[in-house]
Amino acid sequence: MELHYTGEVLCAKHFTRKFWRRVKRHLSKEGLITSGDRVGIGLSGGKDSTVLLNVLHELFSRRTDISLVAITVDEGIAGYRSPSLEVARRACGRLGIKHVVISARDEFGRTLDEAVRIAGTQEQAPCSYCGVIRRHLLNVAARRAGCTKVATGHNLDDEAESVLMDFVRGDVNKMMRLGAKVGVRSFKGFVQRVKPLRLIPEKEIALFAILNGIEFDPAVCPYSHLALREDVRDAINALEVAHPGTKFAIVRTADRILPHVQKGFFGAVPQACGSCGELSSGPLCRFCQYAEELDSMEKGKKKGNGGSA
Amino acid sequence: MASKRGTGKRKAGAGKISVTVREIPGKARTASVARGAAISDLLSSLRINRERVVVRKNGRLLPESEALSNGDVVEVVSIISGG
Repeated sequence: MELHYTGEVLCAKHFTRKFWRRVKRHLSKEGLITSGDRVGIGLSGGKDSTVLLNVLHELFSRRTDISLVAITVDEGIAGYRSPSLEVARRACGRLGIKHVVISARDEFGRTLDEAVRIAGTQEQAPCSYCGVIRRHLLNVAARRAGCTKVATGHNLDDEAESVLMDFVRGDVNKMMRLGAKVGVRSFKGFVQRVKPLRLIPEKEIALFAILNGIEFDPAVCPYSHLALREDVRDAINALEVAHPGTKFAIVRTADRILPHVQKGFFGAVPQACGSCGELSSGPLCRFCQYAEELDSMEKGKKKGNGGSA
Repeated sequence: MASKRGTGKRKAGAGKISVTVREIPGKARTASVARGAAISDLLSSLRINRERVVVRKNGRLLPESEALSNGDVVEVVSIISGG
């Protein structure tokens, strides 16, 4: 394994040792998981979340003061989510970790596929719906399971992409929420999110999974090609090949700048959503806004079709 | 830096070698590269960014600087799954 950003060529044993060292250092330095925590692990069944599940199980399963529960959000993407759900179930069964599944159909009133059929792929890219639905349901499930933290499998590539995406969209509010620990801790009902793998490149997570025989679902989301993230990912990967270390540089620069900017930044005041009570930056949270918009669009379509649709 | 590793395995002389490329997910195909080419050269010729894949040569995970030989089977596994 070649780490182009350091110039190292490592065998499997030393690569794995380095991987563990970096994850442990990040967890410890940022205080991501501490005594008394009940950690909800966002588990999709893909490589990042299954590696995260195995890593946290290895580090914390023998601790009596920390407990783990896995949470899978079933967005309702036909042909994509079912196989990964089975991978998630098997992983939890093998490790003896409680597994909770929460579905968009039950909580949002429709699947992501149904939302896309109503709204199309132009106005709101499916990824916008999906991101909002996933974050909302992960928080709901974590709170119901009594979690004090939610750990997600975000990797270095995800983080670097998020920094650039916020620049491209000019979304300062979102940028202020980047980091190893995410969320408004003062808001009752919001479970703080932590990212133990955020300084590990995506490729190294895949290698760790393969080298350690960790089963994961390699499927690609059928909607991912529509996302801005895909364009940003291509750009960053091209830069990384030409200038190794670019991903680390982007994330570390953001990490150094953001604490200073956040002090003087007055974004939207967090409040409870008037409909569901979840954390919101306005009178209605995005999850409930989307649900209402889709209801209106569906009614409009039915009217347009003479009520026969 | 990448092209230095594995030079001992390379054979001198011009010409091409043929390798089987299995893209996962995807199809298998035959590719022709210059004798002495490394996995990274193969990826470049196929326009595959090395950041998006993990590569196995003849079933073994190897650095992309590893040299290729005639008849090698190269599996190119996509690691991109998110949305």
